[in-house]
Amino acid sequence: AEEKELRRKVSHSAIEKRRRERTNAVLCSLQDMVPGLPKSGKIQKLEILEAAAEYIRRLKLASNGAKSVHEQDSSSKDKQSDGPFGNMHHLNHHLQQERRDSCSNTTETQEPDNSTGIEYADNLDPQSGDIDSSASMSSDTSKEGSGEDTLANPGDNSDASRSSPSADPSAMEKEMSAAFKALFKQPLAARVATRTPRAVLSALRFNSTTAGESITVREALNQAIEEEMDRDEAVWLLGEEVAQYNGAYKVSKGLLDKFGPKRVVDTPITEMGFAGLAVGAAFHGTKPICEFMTFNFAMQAIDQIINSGAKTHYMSGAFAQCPIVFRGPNGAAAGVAAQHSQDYASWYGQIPGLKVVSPYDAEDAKGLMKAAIRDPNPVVVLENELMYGVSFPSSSEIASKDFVVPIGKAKIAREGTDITIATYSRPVAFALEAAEMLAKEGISVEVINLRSIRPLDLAAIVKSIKKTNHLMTVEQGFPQFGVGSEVSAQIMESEGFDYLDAPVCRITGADVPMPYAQNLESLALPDAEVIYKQAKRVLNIE
Amino acid sequence: MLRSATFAALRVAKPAGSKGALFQAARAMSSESDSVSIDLGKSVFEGYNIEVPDTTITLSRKEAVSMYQAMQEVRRLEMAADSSYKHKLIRGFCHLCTGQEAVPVGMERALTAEDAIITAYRCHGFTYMRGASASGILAELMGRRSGVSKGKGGSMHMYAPNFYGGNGIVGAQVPLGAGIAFAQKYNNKQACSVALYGDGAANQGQVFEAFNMAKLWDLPVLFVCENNKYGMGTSASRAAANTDYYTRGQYIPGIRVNGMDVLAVRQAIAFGRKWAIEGNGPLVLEMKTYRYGGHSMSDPGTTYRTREEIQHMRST
Repeated sequence: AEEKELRRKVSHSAIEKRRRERTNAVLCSLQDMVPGLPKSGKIQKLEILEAAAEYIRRLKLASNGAKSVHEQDSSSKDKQSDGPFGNMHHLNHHLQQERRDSCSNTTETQEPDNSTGIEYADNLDPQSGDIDSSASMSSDTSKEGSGEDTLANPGDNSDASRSSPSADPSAMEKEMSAAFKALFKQPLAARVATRTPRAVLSALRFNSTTAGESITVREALNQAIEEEMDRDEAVWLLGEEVAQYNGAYKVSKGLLDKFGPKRVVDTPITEMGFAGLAVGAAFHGTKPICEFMTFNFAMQAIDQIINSGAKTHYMSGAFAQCPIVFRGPNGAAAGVAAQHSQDYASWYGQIPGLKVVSPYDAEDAKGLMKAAIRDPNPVVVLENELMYGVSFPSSSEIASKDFVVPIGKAKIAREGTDITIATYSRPVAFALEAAEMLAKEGISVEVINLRSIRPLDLAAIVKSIKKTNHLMTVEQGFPQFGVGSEVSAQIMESEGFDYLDAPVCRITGADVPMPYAQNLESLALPDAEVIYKQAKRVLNIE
Repeated sequence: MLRSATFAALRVAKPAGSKGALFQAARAMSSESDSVSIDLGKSVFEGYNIEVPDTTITLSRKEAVSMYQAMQEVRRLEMAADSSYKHKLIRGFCHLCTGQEAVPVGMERALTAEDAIITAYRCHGFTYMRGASASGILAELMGRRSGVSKGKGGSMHMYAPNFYGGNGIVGAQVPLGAGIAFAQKYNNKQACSVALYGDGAANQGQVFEAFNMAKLWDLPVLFVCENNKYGMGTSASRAAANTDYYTRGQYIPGIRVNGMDVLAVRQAIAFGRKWAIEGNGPLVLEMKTYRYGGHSMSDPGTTYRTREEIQHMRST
């Protein structure tokens, strides 16, 4: 009998039933919490989720501004102690939930036959909708998720919703009712096809933003590409999974839907072939954006990038032009080990005829991408996978369709007087963090975000050295023949040398293929602690 | 004058097996506007998954003289480069197409100015046929500012209108050619692109990557393999498991052409151009040809082939 009881408890249907009950309970509580929803009667789960998403959006709009990067970073560090893995954990959890959701459909006989994984609770019936279609949720739901890619699990309050809305609650209720009515006018089938819970939730965390809110690096890149494709018919995008999959890292999300398969092209897994094809297309009157899933794979295509792309303008006596952009994530991600973690800034930075940029934040990402696409030369845009989900404050300037950051100009990310740290891409965040730590000890750090690897803004570094007399470079790439080496050499050859009170200090990744074990990986890459210690050493402070 | 000109032309571009017919037909043309119908003979084309082009062509005296003259000019150009190189006026690499003239000439006569060509480093003949001047080419070879690439490219990096070189890396030009065709299709041009490569380059992986994308997306590109039997010093049979290069496209139809016959080349390219522009996707064309000289100026060309073979090819 004990065994029977145990078997009953662990039987699949029982597990499913308990899970369903829990889901329904949460959705019911959500139904109560969201104003404007009919409190009783027939309503679908999808509609509850949609209404909740809409409500959260309105709450966010009502509340003031977004947090800075560091606030979000530290709050996320509180949530999960394992840094980037935290995101993966949440993502996996959500995906597992999803899979369980769609599995459960097959066990219920009253399920309508749709493959989108919508689940109906036992006691809820589908609401009959009107035939009139209204503005879809996707255009309304324009907001920014939290700093990391944390998905809104039911019952997990996002930071945004915790903040009290400044709007009058009853007014909110009226607004929600109206929005809800408008939303539900659309027939369910049409909405279901595009608005699975997953789609709603992903729309929550990834959308175009308006001024005054925040924007992730991913969104900034997406906007930049979309705006440039709008602006110039000749611009087109190719790469693996850029079209139907919406981008391996979702950077090209929505572009296929907007521009169609002629301009957003999925390629086979043939880097050398499609990079060459893109260069040829650039020769003959189009402006391709060639995405590499990471720049590690671009090594297969590097002959086309350099010999066919970069050098042709010169060796043809300026006859042929190659207005192409090569883009993709560069450098270390999280736990992807030796063959997927290399930083290629110094490789491409060597090549005359090529321009190389590496954005850090959303402003860099959008501005540099737009500049790269408009540039008639081949430009390599070295992004960073771990920065894609990071939010930064937006502005009306950034949101403008002509926001371009000039290539070849660095940005002073933080002003200071004691030591200059020149860096690019993700290490800028570490440098800023180290600067905070050093500020507590009375050391004033100037952080330069290089933005461009080639051409390198040496003048900005020299100008800074004249003020601080100490220079440190930070990069994630291998130490030999790297960006720091180049900066050191150029500084020695310039008047900046006369202003140095100490040798230039290079902080780089370790001279080892990236290890897999997490602790070894952390040791192989510089972080704020390392920068902090070395800065004090350069300044000769204990 | 006509008789001797066409007689000489026969020596350069004589289809196997129909010497009598062509000679008689050409002899019969006495005025500029005269046109003659010639049967090139069955052996000029071999098909792979495709019906070969018609071997009956029409040729006017004007066309015949023009083609002969062009081939002579290319030959003279190459011989001038040869002797300049030996006099150390040209440095570095110099790959000559002596003996292969029928391919660039026949091709140009079948294409329009809107079509694009891209080839590898044996490019002087193509550069000339695409509109560059002989002096521009020789100046480029000598590193002068008046050269086609302002002296910055040299022998392997020559460009002309809708001619994209002149590429030094073996095989790299093939995906580039597919890309040019992509751009033509993207911009709705009624034009095709021709991507040439040699028997040595035909084994490159990126060539097959280009085949795949061209067939997948129906790009208007002609993949033309100039099979001169030797990839530098390695004979084709020592480098390729399958030396029927016109079948290497597998899912792309192919035609093998007698590349020493300028009329056959012209006919095949015209057929291919029509095929591509009508939206049938890519085509692989193998031009069976032969270079009289070595791979480049630093190669005598006799260490891997016999003098008898070279003499035989020169005489037929």
